[in-house]
Amino acid sequence: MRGLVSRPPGLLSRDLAALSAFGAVALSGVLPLPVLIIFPIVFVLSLLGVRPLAGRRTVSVIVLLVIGVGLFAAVALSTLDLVIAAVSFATLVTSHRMLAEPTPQASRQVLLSGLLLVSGGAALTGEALFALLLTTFFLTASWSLAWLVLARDEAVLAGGERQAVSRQLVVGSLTTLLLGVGFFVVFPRLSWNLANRRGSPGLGGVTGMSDTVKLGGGGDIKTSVRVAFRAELTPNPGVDELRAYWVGRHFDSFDGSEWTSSQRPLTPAGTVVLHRASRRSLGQLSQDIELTPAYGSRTLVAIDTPTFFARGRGVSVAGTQPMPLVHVPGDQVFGANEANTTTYMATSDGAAGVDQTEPSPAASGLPAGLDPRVAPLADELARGATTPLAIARQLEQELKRRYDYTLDLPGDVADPLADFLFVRRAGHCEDFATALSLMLRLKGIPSRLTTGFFGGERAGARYVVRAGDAHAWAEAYVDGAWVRLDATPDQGRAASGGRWAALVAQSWEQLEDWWRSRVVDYSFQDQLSFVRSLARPPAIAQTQSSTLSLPDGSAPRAVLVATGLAMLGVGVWLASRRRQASHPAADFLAEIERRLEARGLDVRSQPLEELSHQLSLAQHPLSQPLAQACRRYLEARFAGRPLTPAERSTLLAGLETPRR
Amino acid sequence: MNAADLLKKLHAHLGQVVLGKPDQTKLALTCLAARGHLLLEDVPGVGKTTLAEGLARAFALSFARVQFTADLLPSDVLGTQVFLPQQGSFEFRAGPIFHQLLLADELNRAPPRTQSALLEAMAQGQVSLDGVTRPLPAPFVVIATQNPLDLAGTYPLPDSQLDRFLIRLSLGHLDPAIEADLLVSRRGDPLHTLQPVASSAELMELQAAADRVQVPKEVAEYAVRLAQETRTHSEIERGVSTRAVLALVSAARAWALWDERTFVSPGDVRAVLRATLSHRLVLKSSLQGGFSREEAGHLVDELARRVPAPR
Amino acid sequence: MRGLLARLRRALNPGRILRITPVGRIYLVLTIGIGVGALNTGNNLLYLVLGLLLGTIVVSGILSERVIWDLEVRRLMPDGVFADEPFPLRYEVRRKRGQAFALSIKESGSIASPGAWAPVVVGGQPVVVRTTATAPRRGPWALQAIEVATSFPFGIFEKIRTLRVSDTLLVYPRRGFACDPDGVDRTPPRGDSGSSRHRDGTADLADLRELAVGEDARRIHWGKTATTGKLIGVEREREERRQVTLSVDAGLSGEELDRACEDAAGQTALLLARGYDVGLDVGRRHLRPGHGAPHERRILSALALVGFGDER
Repeated sequence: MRGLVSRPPGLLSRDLAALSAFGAVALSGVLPLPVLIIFPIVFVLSLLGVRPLAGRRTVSVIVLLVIGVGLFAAVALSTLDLVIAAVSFATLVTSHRMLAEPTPQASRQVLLSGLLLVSGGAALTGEALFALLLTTFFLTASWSLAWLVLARDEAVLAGGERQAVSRQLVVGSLTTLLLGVGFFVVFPRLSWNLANRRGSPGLGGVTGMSDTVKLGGGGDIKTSVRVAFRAELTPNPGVDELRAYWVGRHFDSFDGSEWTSSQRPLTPAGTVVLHRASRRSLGQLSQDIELTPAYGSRTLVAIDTPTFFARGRGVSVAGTQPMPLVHVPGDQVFGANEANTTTYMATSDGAAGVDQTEPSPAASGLPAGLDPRVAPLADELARGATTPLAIARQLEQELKRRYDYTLDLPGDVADPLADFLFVRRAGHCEDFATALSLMLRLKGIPSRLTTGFFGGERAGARYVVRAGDAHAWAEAYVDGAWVRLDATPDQGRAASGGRWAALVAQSWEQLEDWWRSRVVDYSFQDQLSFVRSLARPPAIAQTQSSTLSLPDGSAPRAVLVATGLAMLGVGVWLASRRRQASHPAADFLAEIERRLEARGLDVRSQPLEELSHQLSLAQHPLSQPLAQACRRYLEARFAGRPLTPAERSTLLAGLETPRR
Repeated sequence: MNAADLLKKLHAHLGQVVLGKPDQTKLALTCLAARGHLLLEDVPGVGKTTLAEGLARAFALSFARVQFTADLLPSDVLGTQVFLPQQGSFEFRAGPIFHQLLLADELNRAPPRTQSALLEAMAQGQVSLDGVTRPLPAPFVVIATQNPLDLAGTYPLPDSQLDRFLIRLSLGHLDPAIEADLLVSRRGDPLHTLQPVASSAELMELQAAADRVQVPKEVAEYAVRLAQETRTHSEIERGVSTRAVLALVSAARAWALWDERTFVSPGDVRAVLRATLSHRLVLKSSLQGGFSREEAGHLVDELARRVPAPR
Repeated sequence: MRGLLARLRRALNPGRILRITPVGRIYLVLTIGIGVGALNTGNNLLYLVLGLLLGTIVVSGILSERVIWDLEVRRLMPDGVFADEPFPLRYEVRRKRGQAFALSIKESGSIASPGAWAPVVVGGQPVVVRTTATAPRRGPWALQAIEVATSFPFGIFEKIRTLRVSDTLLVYPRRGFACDPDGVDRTPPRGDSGSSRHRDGTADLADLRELAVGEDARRIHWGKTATTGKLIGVEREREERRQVTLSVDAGLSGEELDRACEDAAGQTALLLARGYDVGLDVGRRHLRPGHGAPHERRILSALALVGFGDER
């Protein structure tokens, strides 16, 4: 405990800052296990004042360098991601400096490498908890830096002086936070792509909307929470979970491991009509869709069954320009140009829609090296069904029933389909869709693989679809129309736990959602609408926010609440520090000082007795009650005459209102 | 009348003759209440003598003033045995020291022998001459003044003798506004019109009251911590002695009387700190003179800021 | 019009220097790096971090300006100091309102000093802070400006403001070991013949005693004789003292003159300690022999000023 008491100022906040920086990285879950274990130990040691590396600079730096070289060798051999290696190394550097002598220089180094950790965390996670850790890091780090500045010459500050500093620092850090949020809001969000590949969406994963669908292979499927696109639906379905199928592309040729398309594009045009709207579907859905940079592809999506695409616009560094649309019949519609963000309008027939496109010859073809066991399996699964539609439905249900869903990829295997059906008996959506469409073809039914998204969560007036919602399914051409068949097992979350747990989970999800839509996916579009809302006359802006989008109005409120909470936390902490006096009368003293401060008197720069004396010289209206209170405090503190509660409240009341 | 009222009455009374120096007057009264001797150190003409005489008159003390000069002999202060031829015997003629309040003006002009004779008498409360010990009157107070500018022909008091004074004060120049008032309103010497407001018996009661003031343990520790700091300070050659800590606490006791308190608070200690300690420090910087005095005061103020008070 | 121009000029060049500390340099590099990263990837969280880093820089600027603004500094100096010897130099810092933190105050001239440190200055309450300084050479040193710097709040930037405060510091010659001067009589004085001035009645009184037979009647202290009824004679201090007048050749210059002054100062101290009356003859200035601390200081001041065209 002694270590805790006799620490140089700013050391505790330094360690807390390092802890929150580490937390920000650890949140992403990518740190190697040794690093995850080392840092908490280092933190506890540093908190206890144990510094084993003090005086062993050369040796420890050599060890650190060796570890660093090892990490980057792992990067070179591509067994480790560069960013992960960098943050691991930064964590080790931070730990090293924390265990060295607690000089101001070492403390500053800890804070700077903590800053590296935090930015690494920003690159690797999108969690809402990151906001908390970032705020904590900034508050504690600025606190620590300030005390490092003040702790020169071992000058000891009086209690009052310390409070003056603290007050200024609290104001300063809160201003910093507000300014930071301000910068965040107004800094232009144009992807400048200074050193990246063209169209790279940055760290954090993309949807995987690509020109081919390849089964098997290594790596992992991105379960990214980044928003792939946003859609405003008219009429608004008014549900929280849309659970809609969003169609992107159709593929008809499969070569045993890879799906491709055999179709040719038409010339670019302003509008694309896929089908005439069906007469049966009165509830036609119109969609205004915005594809974010995280979408990572030019394919346009729309809710099943799309009928019409128009009004394409691309937002890029050059500004907003019209985007011609290219139709590949039986395959996809895509934007003709590269853009950071693409917006367009689409209509769909909804669930009742019918796609009557003639199947291409490739839609009935089978790959050359198809495993001989597949055909008997298809027969077995379809046993008993007679009509093509019944066969298709039965295959869909049986696959769904007999096989498991998994996100693990098989790795490089010769025949991924056989591996799925006969070895692992588990797979993800593409495996299911491939198996289903090939079985359909074996039964003589033309089929194709469709990629797109499944889902849609309400965020304000719009629906968002995340990169992790990417999906694939099969379609069968039955009775002159395409029928959607999704053999992938449902993987809905089982509702578990009590009501409170559910409530907590729900509010957390709401917070996360706010964080994602307002911060993580804050876009140039949002900035433009923010600027527009500023330019608009206030009256209109008000009606807009009240009728259209409640969460828009609640966003600044949430910022205020968060700031307030931070302020409250700091305040409570300061107050608790002030209360740490040992004598019961000290509490009374603190109350006196609080009241005096509330009345605008400077209680920080001098002791109470001197202040009381000064006031009586100046014939201040408070001097009389203060002299009494001060006297009673001194008696209670030094002469062993404890205060009664009644006396205490009378004296304190005297300080509230001046006596005549 | 209790101690605080008496002190405040005296303070107000003295304020009529010593203008614009409430803090110094308060410290001077505190010094008397603590049975201490007072050293006034300032350039001539700022009211040192007025303050001393005012104190004597206010308490109705028997008063003598000795102008210390180069040719002043110990016997001029203490007294001499005079041979009376008629009776064929010696008679003791008491010197000015046998008054309740002795104003030793320009103490540093007298040769060291004379200075030390006075200071020894002050310390012991009695005078020994030719084998006979004569007690000094009670109460007994010496107020000495000295000129801080090191003019030629002065004998600076040795450090050990400065220690005999409980409090050292400098009055400083008047506030210009008050000085102007003085020019407008003063007619005649106000000292002559100053009436006694207390008796020497009351002074002794005051001193007894100061003795009864308790010193809480925390406050005593605070005083000791302050003294300790002077001993370890890098700028200070020689820190204060235990006698100085005693002086500090006894001055603080008397200061507590102003507030009608029966115990000493940390604020009391701070209030008398500079006046009781600054003349007892020996600084490392070898240059003496006005700067070093100011320097000592600054150092003491620094200590008061640095050492945390019990709260 | 002219006043307006002057005000404008002052507003544009408020006498501030901004220095980036080593930590600040790393901080800026990191900020730029994170900024490039944010622009490059469009990662909003990096934008958020960048926003906070930029916010910190802005707040740093505002708070340090608040600290350094509205400050008054005054020197509290010793009357004289010795060359090459550290001496305490104090500054009184005050501001009218508000608070100042982490001020480091130092001379911007050639006086070597590590600088004083004032962690907190509260408005209306002057704070006195101390540093030790060393003057390399004797002479009157013109102190012209004081540099007040703060790296509050975060130690990323150091803001320096120069305040024009003029003072003159008198630096006495370096103290050192001194040889006995030539031509000083070291035989003890004997009888009335020892001194040329024993009867002039000007010196300080050392003792009073009954007049011995054959002593000069000018020794009689008439006042004391009247009170005691006996003839009382005076013994004066100066009878025991002998006089030496040191001289410094004002024709010397530079290093040699300094050396001569140092020698003279050392001998002064030595001779005074031995009980001599010491006088000084230097150029146009002549000091009569004397003793005591004030006299020594007068000699030292004269030696400090030799060769600086200020020999009053």
